[in-house]
Amino acid sequence: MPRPILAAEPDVSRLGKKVLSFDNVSLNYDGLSILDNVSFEVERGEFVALIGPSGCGKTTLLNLAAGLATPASGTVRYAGEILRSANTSAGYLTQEDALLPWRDVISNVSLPLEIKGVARAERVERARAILAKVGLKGFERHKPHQLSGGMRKRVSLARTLIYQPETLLLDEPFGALDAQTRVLIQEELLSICKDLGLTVLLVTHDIVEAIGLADRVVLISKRPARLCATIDVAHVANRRLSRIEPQNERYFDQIWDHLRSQTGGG
Amino acid sequence: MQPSANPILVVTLRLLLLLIAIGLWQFLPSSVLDEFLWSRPLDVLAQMSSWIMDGTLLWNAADTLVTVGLGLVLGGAVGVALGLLAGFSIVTERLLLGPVQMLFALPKITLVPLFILWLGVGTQQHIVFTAVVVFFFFFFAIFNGIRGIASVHHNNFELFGASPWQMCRLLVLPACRGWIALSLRLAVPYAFVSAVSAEVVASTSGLGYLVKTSASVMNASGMFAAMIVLLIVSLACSLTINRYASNWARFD
Repeated sequence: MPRPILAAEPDVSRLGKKVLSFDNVSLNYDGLSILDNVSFEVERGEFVALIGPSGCGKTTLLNLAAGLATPASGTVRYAGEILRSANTSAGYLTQEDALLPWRDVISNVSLPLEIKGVARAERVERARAILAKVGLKGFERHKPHQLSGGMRKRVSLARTLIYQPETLLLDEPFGALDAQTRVLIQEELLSICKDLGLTVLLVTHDIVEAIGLADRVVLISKRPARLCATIDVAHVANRRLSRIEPQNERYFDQIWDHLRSQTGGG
Repeated sequence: MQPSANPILVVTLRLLLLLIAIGLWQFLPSSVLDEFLWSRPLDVLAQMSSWIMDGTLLWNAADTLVTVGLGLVLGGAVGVALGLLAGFSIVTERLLLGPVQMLFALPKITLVPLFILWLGVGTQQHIVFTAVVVFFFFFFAIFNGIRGIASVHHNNFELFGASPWQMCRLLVLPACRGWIALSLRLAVPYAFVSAVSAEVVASTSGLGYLVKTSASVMNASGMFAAMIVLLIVSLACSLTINRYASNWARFD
């Protein structure tokens, strides 16, 4: 089904083939080793899911990709350039609610444009368009506390998309949502990403989500995080976000076995 | 659950209590209540009306109000500015927090003789003293407000490419609105306390000046008259601020 596209699509042609590359990245925090020689790449337009046990340093990987942290050794490159400050080409959607409680929905969504100095009329117009796209038409003047968790997440998504990032960094963004809402938002997200040709790096615990959304699933060890395996799921047919089709259960089992081996449980 | 009190009953009882107190003050015999030290309500009223007639009251009340107002503006502006600076980075925090905490520990009234030395006994000195006292409310409010902003907001603003000024204007100040409102509510009564304290120590005008000069000529009526006016003015300002500040600070 063709979907209306944003006012302007991000120009991703400058990115080249490799959008994000981690090269032998290590990081310590308070004497604790968080990342241990992690290397992987994300190609343009690719949807990569990182999956690993709790507290393994997945979020740290996203912070590095966002330029909000710097590695102790190794390099993180975005579009070929080493990241030294906040990566303003990336949109970062976290598990926490990051809406400003004193702003209504439309001015929350248009905040990135306000910061970029876009004129008020254009800001409002673009915010309205993108709110309609994520199914929040009519809620422009609501305050965040008047919305449900799923709606707030949609507002966050709209705010992340409005400044047309080339790349999305998603940190378990749907973890706190109920099952139906989660599947709906996941489907929306997937179609938006494909429409816009966005490159996505998703961190998750949810195996069904990883298989359902990603082209490639990267398995991470327990802390200090190392790369364990990469599973290519792009070719898998009949992917669904609500459940795993019987013929795809082997991928689920493979990831599940990995997680179990890393959490030390039986 | 406690039964709620009948509001009409409460108001009636309060009025009754007030009337009894004023009645006792007026009619207790001199052997019990020496009017030379205590004055009488009617004498206080007479003093008040004569001060109103000759403009003394208006002039001195205006003087104290200007001191309170300018002290709040000055102390508030410097407090917010330095609070923002202290919250800006670890370096500025280390630089500012220690000295401010040290000054905060100092009993502020000891500064009055120093300010008299520097600025004389006029309104200037009262304004600066008031500003110093209220400064701390705003400084600590903003500082704590900044510390309380979730890092996810900072991160997002950085990714949106916000400049430090935009970060301050669009994130920090709005997020600190509740704190600023709270410090305003605390600072207004304190501004009166400090303005009048400075006036009582040394002044040529103001409600504190009226209290002081009345006391020095053993005019008990004048002292009470000035105190009552001070109470009314201070209370009216505090109530007004409370009302507007809490509305202003609400997000929803």
